[in-house]
Amino acid sequence: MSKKNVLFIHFKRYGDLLMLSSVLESYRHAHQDCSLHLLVFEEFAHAAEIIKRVDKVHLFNRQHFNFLKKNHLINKSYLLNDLHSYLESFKEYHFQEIINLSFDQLSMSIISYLSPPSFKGISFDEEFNPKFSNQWAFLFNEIGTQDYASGLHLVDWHHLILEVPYHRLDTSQMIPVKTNPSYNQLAFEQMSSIRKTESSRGKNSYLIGLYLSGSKKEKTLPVSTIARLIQLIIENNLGIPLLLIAPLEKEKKLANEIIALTKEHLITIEMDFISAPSILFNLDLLVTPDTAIKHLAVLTETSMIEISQGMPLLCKHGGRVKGSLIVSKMASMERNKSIESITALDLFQIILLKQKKITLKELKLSRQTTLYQAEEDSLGVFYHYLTGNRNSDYELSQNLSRSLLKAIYFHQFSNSSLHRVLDNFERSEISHWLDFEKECLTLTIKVLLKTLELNRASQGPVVNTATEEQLVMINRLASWPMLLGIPLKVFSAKWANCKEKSSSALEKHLLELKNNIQIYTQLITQISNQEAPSQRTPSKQVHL
Amino acid sequence: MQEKPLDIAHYEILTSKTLHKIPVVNHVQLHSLEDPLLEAKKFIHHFEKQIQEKRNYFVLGLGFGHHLQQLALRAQFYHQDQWEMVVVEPNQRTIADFHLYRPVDLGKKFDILTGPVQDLYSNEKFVRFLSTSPVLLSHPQSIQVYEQYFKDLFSFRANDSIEEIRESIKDPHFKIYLQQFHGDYHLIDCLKEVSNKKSENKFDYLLLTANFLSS
Repeated sequence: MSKKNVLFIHFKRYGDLLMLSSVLESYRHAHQDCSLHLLVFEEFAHAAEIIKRVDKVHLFNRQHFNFLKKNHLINKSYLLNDLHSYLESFKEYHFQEIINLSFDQLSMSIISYLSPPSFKGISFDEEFNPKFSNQWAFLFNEIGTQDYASGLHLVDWHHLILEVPYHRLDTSQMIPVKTNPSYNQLAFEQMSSIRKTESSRGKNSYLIGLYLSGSKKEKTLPVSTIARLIQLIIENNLGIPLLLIAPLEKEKKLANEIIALTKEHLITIEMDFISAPSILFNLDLLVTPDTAIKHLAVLTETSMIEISQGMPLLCKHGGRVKGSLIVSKMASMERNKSIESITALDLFQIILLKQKKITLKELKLSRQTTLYQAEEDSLGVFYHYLTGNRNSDYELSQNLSRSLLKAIYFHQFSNSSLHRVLDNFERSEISHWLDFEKECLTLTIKVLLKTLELNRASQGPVVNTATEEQLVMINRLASWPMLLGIPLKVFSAKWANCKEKSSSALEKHLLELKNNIQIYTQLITQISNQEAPSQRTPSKQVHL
Repeated sequence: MQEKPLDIAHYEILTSKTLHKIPVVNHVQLHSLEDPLLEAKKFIHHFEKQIQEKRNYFVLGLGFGHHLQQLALRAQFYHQDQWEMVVVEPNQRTIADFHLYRPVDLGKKFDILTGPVQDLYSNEKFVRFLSTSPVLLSHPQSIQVYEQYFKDLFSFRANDSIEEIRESIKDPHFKIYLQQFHGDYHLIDCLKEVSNKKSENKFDYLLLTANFLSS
């Protein structure tokens, strides 16, 4: 019997594509009899082509289609003919299932055109409204992208949407990306040679790879910061700094600038997607602001210090190796506006911590800088606060959003995981957060009860104006930066997507909201009842 | 838009000091009468980086091809046989003389297109070539002589009415589908009409795909 063809549509950039490899690994493990196809934007083909579980990569040349669309010289028939023949070319594969994890309108249109027997993720229905394959796809679309409610990692969202358990490869198994055996051999020999040379000079042969640039300007560290970090590494004999760059002229220029500033004989290594894993295997530590390299390091299980500046959010896109350290500008809604960068001294100290030369207590990070560690619970990976400045309201909402999702959708109230979160905060911080949430809760209950009352008073095929006004207030409350925003956002989205706009349909949704608010209230009560330690010594444990 | 015919009051072919044939149109020498090769080399040198980076070249103005020969040499150097050149020349007499005198040998690696602007854009091969975002090289003397033609070439606006689009749609089912829309509609009007009703045809989603391309 021939294998079932399954197409994944993933119109994302390098980092997200590499993250997808672990999702594909789990999907393949759960569905052994399928042939996996992957549709990506042509410009990110390099990343897609190294993912091991993919049997065939299909490329979408959006530049070509956009040229035909936007060029006033050319008749639009070229665009339509090309799009038509491109989409029709997928028919030959008879895809049994198409999985759209892109959550954008382009991929939704394509999946709707191809109309497979089964789909997962998001598509369009016949009225061009979003159609979700399960409640997780709906939740991801409505709250997964929201800052205050996105406590789940993207990879964990994807597993929930696909309804497959996370399949962990043990270290004896192969990594989920393709490598070139001759590059592996060459990298091993060259790195060993570097270690040997430095050791013979009495130097520390610990190899520290410094990836120089991020995908965006705001993610990249200033040249002076990298140069200072290198000097600190060399002066304190922490290891051998290696400059890692992509084979691009601008990155070579950047490396030369750093070498000129440090006046040191530094080794620069150019790596593309196929050679990068071979290099990463041989490093003792990687320091990187780049999302693509970060996710490659996750796949090669390279020990890493991740620099998280700007968007996207750490909680959704951070590295997933348990114990890896992430240094970030203070998390808040304004984090992408931060102008202060993480300093060389911050990174130097974190390397010392990684090498167990200082303790967490001795670490003194610069203003607005926070250090996290990747950890796992039953919902997947999250980022545990270790030290530094933080916005406690934001952090509490982020952390507790996991507990709330577990309570609402898995009916799990875990005292131990709640303790784990709360132990990390001062009593005053928890009280401050609780005061705001409770105030919002009182207001929300008033609005909800009034809405229920008004709706019941006017049963009909459409809700009345007074009830509509109440719904506007619920929408407004949903946008507030609070944990309670989660059930409110879910309600607002469900009602917006509901085709039947009768008062009885609204009643059903309002009762579901009421139920979710009751669960939220239980959680808030549980938090209030937690014994707050008097002289709190946060239970921080660093797994290095 | 009606194109103006080419205004050629004067046309002759002279010989340069280096014994190369040089067309002169409306008293403008299309190449140097001193040393056309040296002039062409200097001209092409300005595009060195782009020639190295891309493999497709779109040249405005044939002249007698000295600049094309230099371009071909550099393209061959960087890309061996993996490059392509398309030349637009408004003056059919120059093309005929180019073939007659064979002032340079360019092999078969280029196409010369001519004729009304609208006809050029009806040429699928030309449109496909343009969609590769080729390097644009404007031969200065040709631009001077045929300024209006080249202005028309770039200010052209394709007729994007559904009636016009439908004419060139290859798939018969898609062609029939497009018949439901008013002939004067543009794609955006069709989309508005489609999104106001329940979808009954997969081609609705094809229009949607086209709409969401750049989002």
